[in-house]
Amino acid sequence: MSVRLLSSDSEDFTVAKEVAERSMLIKNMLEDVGDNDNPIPLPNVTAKILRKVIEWCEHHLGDPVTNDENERRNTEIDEWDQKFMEVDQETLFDIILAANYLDIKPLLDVGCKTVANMIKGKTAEEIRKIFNIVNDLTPEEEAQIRKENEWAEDR
Amino acid sequence: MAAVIILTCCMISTWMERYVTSSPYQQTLKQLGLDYFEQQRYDEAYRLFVALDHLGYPPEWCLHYQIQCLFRLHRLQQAIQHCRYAINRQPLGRWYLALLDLHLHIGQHDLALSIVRTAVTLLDQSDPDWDDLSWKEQWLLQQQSTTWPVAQDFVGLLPCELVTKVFQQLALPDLARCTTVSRAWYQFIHTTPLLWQHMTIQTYQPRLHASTLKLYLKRLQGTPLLSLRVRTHLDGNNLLSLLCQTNCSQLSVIELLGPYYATGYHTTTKFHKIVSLASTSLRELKIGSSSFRLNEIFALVTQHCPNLELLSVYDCFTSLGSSLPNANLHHLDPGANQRLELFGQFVSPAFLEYLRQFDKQPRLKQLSLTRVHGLTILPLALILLSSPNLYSLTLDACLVNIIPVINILLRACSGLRHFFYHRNQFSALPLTSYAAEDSYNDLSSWPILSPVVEPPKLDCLAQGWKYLVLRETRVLNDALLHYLLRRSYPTIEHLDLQGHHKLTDQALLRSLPRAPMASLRHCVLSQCINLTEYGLCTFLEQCSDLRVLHLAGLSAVTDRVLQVIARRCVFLLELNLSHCRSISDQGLRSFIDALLYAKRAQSLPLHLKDIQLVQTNISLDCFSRVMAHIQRDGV
Repeated sequence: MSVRLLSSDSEDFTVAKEVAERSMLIKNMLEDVGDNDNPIPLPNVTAKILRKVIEWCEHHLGDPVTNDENERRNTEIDEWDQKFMEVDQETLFDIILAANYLDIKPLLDVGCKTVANMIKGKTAEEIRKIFNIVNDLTPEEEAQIRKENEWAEDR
Repeated sequence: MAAVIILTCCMISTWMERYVTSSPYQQTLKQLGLDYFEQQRYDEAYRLFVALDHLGYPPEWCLHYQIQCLFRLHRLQQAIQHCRYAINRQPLGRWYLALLDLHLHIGQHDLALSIVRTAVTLLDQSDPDWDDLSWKEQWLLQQQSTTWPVAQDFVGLLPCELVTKVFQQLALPDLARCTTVSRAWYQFIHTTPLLWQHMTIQTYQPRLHASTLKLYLKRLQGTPLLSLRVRTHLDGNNLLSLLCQTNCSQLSVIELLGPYYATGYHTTTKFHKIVSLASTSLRELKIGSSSFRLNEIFALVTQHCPNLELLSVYDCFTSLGSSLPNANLHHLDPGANQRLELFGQFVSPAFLEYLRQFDKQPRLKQLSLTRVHGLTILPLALILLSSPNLYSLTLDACLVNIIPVINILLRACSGLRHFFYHRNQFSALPLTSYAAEDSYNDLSSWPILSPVVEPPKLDCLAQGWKYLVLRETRVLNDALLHYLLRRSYPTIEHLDLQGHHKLTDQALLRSLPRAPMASLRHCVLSQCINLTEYGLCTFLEQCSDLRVLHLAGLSAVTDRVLQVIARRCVFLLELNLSHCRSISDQGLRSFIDALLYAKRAQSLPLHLKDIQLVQTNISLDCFSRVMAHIQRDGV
């Protein structure tokens, strides 16, 4: 049993139904529509990102689904996912957006954790460099905030 | 060739003067230029196209060919200027495409991407080259990951709920540092209460003051705090006061492992208030200080927190003799302290009857009591009998004897799989002082003596231990150990029997050959001085899955035992042979050789990472040989 998905740039993907149903959005759509040969349009996902997302869903097909917020919060990213997420920031953010839109919670978690790992243990200046951020705080403001969070500075 | 060029130039200038508005000549010139271009005579072609431009031929066409010529002549900077001029004149997709190609040719990918981005946003989709540009953009982005990074501020790029999700993954110090990144970050983090719901403060952040914490808790703006873990030294009374002003209705974790409490500040009243506020949401409670009483804490959670799964109490007192609830249990079972020292005894019916009036803690899975001063068996029995589904029990330095505890466990917690018991607060006793220990607490005359006569009728404690640590109990003998383990030999994974003088080979060999300890991964037999070489060899022959083995202080550990270890325990990661004075240089050498040989045969790297050889008779020479093969070493 397979499902056809149509990316925003009109590329047609055929995937196994179980793979596609990792996405709650698609699962619900399939339930609503029933058996139907028409492709499901996904206007918010480009072919490039959809390909990535499908790759992820295929690899994680057998994973148990946990609804426990704490457990999901505390698990580390496994090695395969780390490799999978070694992409440029734009793609990473697009994957996060796609996971959110398609409602694939575990992938969304992996994406958010990847971004968080880019921040962990870094100084403010390092973070600015990583995300290409201009510091628009005035020196006074910065000194004030710094003072407030002084304890967190030394690691 | 030069003559031809000069001639052409002359011709152009002549034509220019004479046929400014004459289109047939323009057509001829155009054809000539295209011919030159075709013949790769780009220099001549370029001049012709410039001339045509001056002659008023449609500038788009001229510019296009000019740029193409300059590009092929490698006059790239000039070509880029032409492109920019063209874009200024009229922003068309084709100029952007040309400019893009030029920058890519130079290798300025980042500039190229910014150009294509501008083009895609600026141009109308009806532009004939828009699709091309958009494709180029995608292509560049694909290239980007492998060749060059482009960074983006995700705050502002992603929707709020996703930014929140990212920040939620961060621990408190990371989050605090993030506020100094930029104004947008500061605003976002400050005004999102969801980010402040989980607070963990570690020991390495000692400079966090209660005032800062107050600021952080304020940012919740009434949103419930979900978890609080404090592992640093700060004023606990202050912290509790802050919590009283916070929404604790959904608090599921309270871990206060560092705070100190000055006396006389209503510490317990505040704590009671917080626990009763958290009530059914509380899953995990770790607390300790001399301000608290174990029985009070247990009574409190029994009353308010039916969903508690983990309770860890340390460094506190019991309140025997006071007027508090559950304080005085001894009138219910007079003489219990003495009677329960006999194996197989149990608490009185009156005590059980008394327990019935209390609620149970059906969900409590883990209980850990560390340094609870003045703990006797009855208050402990009350807790254990009220926790029917306990899975893991730790009694560390609580000075309650082992036999009474086992007596209770045998009939109470049938689901118990992990048990850690270490009565002695000063576990690092030097070996020499062991001779004098019996005078410290003479238990040899106590009536728990082998063999165990009658097993208790209600025997619950038999479904299979996974983790059993019984250290220096002084009463554990072969018979009692077998009684405890008799149905757990196949399941036990972690067995630690450190410091039991009464254990002999029988303890280890009882399980063989019918039920060897097949799952055993972690085995500590340190200071069980009555084990013999034969016993160890026979036992270790069966333990092929061992990862950790401690045999410290055993004179029975000889070269022969080492040979057995090398042959059978190929997955061993950690081996403690401190104080094993029977090992010779020769024996250790052949041990290492045998290990290496066994590994090489399976072409695996040496597993052994840690071998401790404190106070042995090993020579330095042999020691350095061991060092050469093993990465880390305890000296």
